[in-house]
Amino acid sequence: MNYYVLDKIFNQPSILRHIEYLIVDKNLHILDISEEVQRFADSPTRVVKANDVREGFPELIGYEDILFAIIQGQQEAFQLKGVARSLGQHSPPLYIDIYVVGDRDEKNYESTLIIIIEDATERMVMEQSLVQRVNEANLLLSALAVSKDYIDKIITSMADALLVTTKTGKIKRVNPAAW
Amino acid sequence: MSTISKKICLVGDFGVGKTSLIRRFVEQQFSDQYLSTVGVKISRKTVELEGVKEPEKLSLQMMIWDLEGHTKFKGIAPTYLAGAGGAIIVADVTRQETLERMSEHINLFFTVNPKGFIIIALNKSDMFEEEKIDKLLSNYQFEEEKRVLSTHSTSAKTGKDVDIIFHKLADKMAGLT
Repeated sequence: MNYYVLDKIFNQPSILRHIEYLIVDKNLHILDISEEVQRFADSPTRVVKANDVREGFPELIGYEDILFAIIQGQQEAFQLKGVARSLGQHSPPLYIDIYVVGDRDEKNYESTLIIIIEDATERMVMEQSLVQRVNEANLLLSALAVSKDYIDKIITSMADALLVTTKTGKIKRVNPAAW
Repeated sequence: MSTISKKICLVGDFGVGKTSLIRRFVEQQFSDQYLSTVGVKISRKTVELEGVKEPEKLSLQMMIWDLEGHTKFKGIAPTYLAGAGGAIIVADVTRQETLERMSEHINLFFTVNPKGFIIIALNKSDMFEEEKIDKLLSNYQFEEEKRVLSTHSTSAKTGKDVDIIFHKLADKMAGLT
């Protein structure tokens, strides 16, 4: 791939971009980075050329087999979506998507990895608010079911007779003791 | 002293307390407020491994992956589990369906990581009748799975057994036990 093209897309003074990139070698050491990729890193100061990419992006720890498979051309690509970054308790949330593809350096023909980082905050914050509502409703439903089951057991097994009627005296519910 | 890094995942249904267990272990804090996790959040904690003699002192940096819980609309994404040395499968003792789904989570983890280890956490034990806990523990031992290390009743609220499950998994992943 022509890195000049990547540079042209990514490294221009502009508004806050949503996509940044890193290029790493077969030892996962950083060869090149886009201008603001550090803002997506867990340890921004560790994202410098020649450092291990896993120091700044620890979510790649454990994926070495997959990354090496991509470098060797055994796997085409890899993606990790919705990774949350902790920027401190009072900071707004930040989520990223990570895409990894293989490439070959055009000067020395060495295999490399291009790691593309995309800001996924907007999508994930919206998803969080939807998931929160659905999960809360389901938890409530589950608690109500447990509570109903508990009350039913008491009513069924109590020794005293229980009759529930409407205002007009029509029987709505009776327990076994009332039979 | 040398440090090794290992990835562990917390897996379970939504609302069982995965995030709270991590928060208790990493920050020694607990909050009753429920905030659902989406995607994945990674926390780190370094533990010194026990049973290692002074000259070869070894510590383990645990990369703890807090995964979005399983719901009926969305399962656990296997991509998140890849490369993990261990997992804590979490269920809520007050919700039977979360206990029943543990086998599914165990199978999924072992499909992705056949050499990984698992510990079972029956969480929210502070909200359950104490006399029933022992029966529950014996019902969910998974003895047929040799790589399931043990089952614990835990409470992120009181801290019961929280450090134990993480340390036990750390020791096993480092090959000390």
